[in-house]
Amino acid sequence: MGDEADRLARRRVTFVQDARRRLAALSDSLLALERNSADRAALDEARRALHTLKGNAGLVGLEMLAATAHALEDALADTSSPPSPVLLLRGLDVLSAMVASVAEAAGQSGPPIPAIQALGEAPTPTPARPREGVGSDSPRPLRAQPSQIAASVRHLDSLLELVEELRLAHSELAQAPREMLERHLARQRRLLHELHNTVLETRLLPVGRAFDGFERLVRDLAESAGYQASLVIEGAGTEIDRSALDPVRELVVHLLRNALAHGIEPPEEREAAGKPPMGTIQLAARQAGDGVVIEVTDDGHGLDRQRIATQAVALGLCSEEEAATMADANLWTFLAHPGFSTRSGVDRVAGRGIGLNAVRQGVESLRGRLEIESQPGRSTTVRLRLPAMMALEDVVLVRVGAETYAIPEAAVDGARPAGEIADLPTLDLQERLQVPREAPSTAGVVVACRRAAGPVGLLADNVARRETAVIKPLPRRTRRPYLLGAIVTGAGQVVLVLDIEQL
Amino acid sequence: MDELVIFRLGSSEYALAAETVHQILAPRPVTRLPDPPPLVCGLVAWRAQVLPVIALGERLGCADPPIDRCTLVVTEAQGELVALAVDEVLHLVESAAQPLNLEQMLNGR
Repeated sequence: MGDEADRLARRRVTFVQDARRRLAALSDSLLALERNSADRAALDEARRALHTLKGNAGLVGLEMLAATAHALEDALADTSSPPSPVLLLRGLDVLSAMVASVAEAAGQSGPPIPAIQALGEAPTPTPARPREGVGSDSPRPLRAQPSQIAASVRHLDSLLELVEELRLAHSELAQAPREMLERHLARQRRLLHELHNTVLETRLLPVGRAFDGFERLVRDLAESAGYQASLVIEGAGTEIDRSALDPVRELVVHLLRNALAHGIEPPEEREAAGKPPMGTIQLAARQAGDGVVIEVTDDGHGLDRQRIATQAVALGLCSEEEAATMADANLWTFLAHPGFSTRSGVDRVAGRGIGLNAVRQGVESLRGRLEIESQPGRSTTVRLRLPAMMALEDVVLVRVGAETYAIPEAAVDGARPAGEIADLPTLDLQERLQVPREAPSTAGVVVACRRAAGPVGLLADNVARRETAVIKPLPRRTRRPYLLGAIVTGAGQVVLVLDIEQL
Repeated sequence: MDELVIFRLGSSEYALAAETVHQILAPRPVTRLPDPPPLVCGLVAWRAQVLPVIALGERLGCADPPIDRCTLVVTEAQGELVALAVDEVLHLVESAAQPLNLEQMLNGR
């Protein structure tokens, strides 16, 4: 009996994973139908999605869900009086909410479920347009079907664990007598590296999955505020680590809300400025270096330099002279300052504010950075620069007292005996990291590092070695700005990775 | 009746619900944090993750076990895996006794 309940629970988890994809397809095709009610391909796709959903729901005993899908399917099938798009989208909302509650019961809560945003006020249903000649071949891009599998994260994680255990075994083997083993070791190392990278790559997913339902979200939000705005999505196929999908979705929702609340002007104001009444928000993702850039640009009124400067001075973030000469990009970063966003009224006129502090924190917890650009009167761009999430990174290990710390190799210029470098500001790691020192420090080496604020020399005992490893996030409560994360060495030891910028 | 894992900390015995215990680890090097939050005394690697090592000595009114020579119980608290530092794990029993509530401990209650 217990086994059977177990089986049903597992099947419901599978059902939820599938249902989310069906709902996303349904959402897309209903939106396409709303734009063009004669879109035959979209109609077929909507029916297919509903039909599958109905069948699968029945198989796992979700009768209400099956009945709802069935009712919608019937509504779509009635060609004599096509239902209003608003009603269909409402139906989609109901289905989404049902799937969400099944997911919750099955311990599978979380996005991406499209379009569950409450509509502030009910829009008046537009009268259904008569269906024009069926079969008009409106061009509809075929849904790309990349060769992907829906592997569970748990499964991938255990694969990754396995590989890491292999790496550990390898390093133990490496301690054994050399001569005979050298060649085998080299081969094994190469294979392991390849395997590791392959497993990491299976974690990549198109970032577009995090953007499900955004077109509708923007439309609904704009409508409820009496604005007009449309969303253009670019680069939805850009790949990103699957663990970043949910946080990215949240961050982008913040940015879209911001763009609507503080960027896009009311239609009359836009027309007075010679702009089309309909505002445009562009959501673009692309590969940049070995990371990913996601940016939200609105064609609203841009940021007001004067007001932001005044506010920054009032908050004591900089002096009046500094504010006057500061580069725009630096001035805009004040918008993400916690004090800035809490001042009511300021964000509305200054152009932005609420939420940006939260977004900055979110980006930083993904080890990324926030950038802001603006052309006064014309546009504002908020850019999230995210690192390649789980990629292997080269780090340099330094010894400080009895402890070892890692520094990203990209930030390191070189190491020289202490005393040979005179013209470099130095930072004593023993002091900064409060390393207990049983024996007197040798402080024998200065590791020269680059950072945005200029070069810095880190004082350590010696440089131990290089290592290539995945930088893992620290447990939530132990995160600190000056720690990027930790690596696990071949010997199974946790080594903290320092963030040179924040040290 | 729940299965409980009984462990010793100082001179007292405590229990955790067995279903929340993932593994019991032999003593191993613990990495010190420069600026640890309360009750956290370092980090260890387990499988592919980095876990905080929790020492409850202060909360339970006894000395913390010597950190590099203590047994670690991998368990769950506040939605995360943690490694609880204990002097030794004694046995597994079936009992109706109330196990230790780590959530409350970490929340300072």
